[in-house]
Amino acid sequence: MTRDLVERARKGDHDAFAELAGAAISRLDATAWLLLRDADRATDAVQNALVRAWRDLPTLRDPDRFDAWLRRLVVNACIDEIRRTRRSRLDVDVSDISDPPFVSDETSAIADRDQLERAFSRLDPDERAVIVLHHYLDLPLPEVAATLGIPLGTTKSRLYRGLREMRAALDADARPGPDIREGRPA
Amino acid sequence: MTASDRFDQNVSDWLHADAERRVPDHLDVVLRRTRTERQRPAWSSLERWLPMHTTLRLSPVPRAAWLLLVLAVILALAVAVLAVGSRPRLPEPFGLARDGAVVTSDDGDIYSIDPTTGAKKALIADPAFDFGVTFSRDGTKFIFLRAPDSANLDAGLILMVANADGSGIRELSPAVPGLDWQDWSPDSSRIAFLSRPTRGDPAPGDTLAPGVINIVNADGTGLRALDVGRPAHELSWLPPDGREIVFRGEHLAATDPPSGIFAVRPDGSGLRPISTKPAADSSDYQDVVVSPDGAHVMYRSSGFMRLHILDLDTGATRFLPGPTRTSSQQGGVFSPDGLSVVYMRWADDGKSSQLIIAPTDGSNIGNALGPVAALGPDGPIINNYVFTPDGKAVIANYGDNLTRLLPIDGSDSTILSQGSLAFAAYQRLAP
Repeated sequence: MTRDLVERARKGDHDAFAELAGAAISRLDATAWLLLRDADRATDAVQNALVRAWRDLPTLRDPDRFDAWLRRLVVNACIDEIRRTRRSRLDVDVSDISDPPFVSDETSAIADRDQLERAFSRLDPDERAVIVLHHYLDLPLPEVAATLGIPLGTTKSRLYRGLREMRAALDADARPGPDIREGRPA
Repeated sequence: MTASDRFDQNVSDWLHADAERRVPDHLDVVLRRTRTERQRPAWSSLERWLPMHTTLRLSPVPRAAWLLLVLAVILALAVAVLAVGSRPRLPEPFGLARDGAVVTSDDGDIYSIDPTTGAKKALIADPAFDFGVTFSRDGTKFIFLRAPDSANLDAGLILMVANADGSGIRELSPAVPGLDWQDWSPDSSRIAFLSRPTRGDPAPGDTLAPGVINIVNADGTGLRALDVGRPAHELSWLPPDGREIVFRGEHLAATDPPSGIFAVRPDGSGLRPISTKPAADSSDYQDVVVSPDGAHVMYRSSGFMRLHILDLDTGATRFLPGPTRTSSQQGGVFSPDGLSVVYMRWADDGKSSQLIIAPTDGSNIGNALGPVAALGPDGPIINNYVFTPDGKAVIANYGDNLTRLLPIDGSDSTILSQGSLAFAAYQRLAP
């Protein structure tokens, strides 16, 4: 059914495109919101991506990949938006991703929404994208890599790095200051 | 479950909870915008008919015995003078010219159309599927596209060339996937065109979008690709001498540099940015065209879709005024003398559009040209348009498969041709 709609939309059928867009937009909105943390910017990013999808649809080689292609357009639009409005951070090279990151039970236990949001907001756009695609859209890592157009190894590296930075941020938030350290074991 | 697993689960749970109903419904806005946006053809260029010039060929000097040499030389010179005198003068590559033949395609064949009577004469009518005619700037030749398999345009297109009368057909390229947006050099000796990047392992959703600039000589030799380090689109040779090729740098993947307008020499050297501001988003800097004098570049910005004119000397930009601040404009084309532009303006509700002719200097909002085109079930219905060489009219192809000749003085339009691929090209002749 989707393939038929894509084929019709490729030939300029607006109704078919409306159906495709209507089926996808809530998921795309959610993805854009998670990446951008701003409803207006998320709306702009999704609109721009959908307009671009309409414009470039005749050039889509494989109609069966429409969903992946659309996802990619939205994620790229969001990454563009983040980079445009935020000073880039230096990448930290992760040369060894074989060791599991240190995670304290305490960290997991206290990871409430505000802390997670703060930690997530500090991530680079590329790291956010990998985490959202993998942990929200539930895409397997090879599909995440393909969606973002990056090698699988880079995908794993970004996921590892992003989660590690979130944990580090949560640990920092959870670390007691001098006044509340009182009464705790040294 | 390890601590790491628990943390991952926490992240996943938070993402799902956090994403719920954060963005208000805006599907209707999206659909209004898409109804005002033309789709990019996978197989053909928009009109690329800004024209023309050539070089003279000297008649050969005959070899003769020494005693007859002087007479032979005199005779040869006399013949040469007669030959040159009888040969039609050729137009300059840019600027106003005299209208010549109208050539168009109809269901895979190429025809010449008499603009006054509408009579059709077949120029190329063989079993191959041919379309997409673009005249050389000197008006002596035209290129066109040949589909080896018209049922599968994804298989690639062949760039072809023929003399203006349809003779001398020759292939200029093999079948090229994504062949698009071809443009003649000012001296009519070379053609630049786009092709799809070749990749060993296409990513999901990989498209036919063109991205590689290719150049080939008009005799079919010297085909080569330029490496400009980014996907390219909407290319034009920069007037007056074609020392550079101007193009839109596309942002198709996260790894691509931001969108913008760039120039590169035909040998691939000297890549430089022309746009002076960072792209607002990947939809910025579209509909890129150069003015006939090579001093300005017109482009469409994202957002409200305004047409801007960039001064290549100063880097300053200004936009073409519209009746309201939110009037959407797209697809600007310069007149042959560069004093006017024609573009498509959308009604505020996005359900209809109309061609507008306006002064390039932005001194007023311009006048409507031709019929209002209501949005049809198959999308926008003004597909492409270009000035006639004498600048007195615009030929426009509408979605009803009719190609109209629209006089810029507002007098009645005439139907030039009709057919499924009726893109028309106008031959330029010396005034």
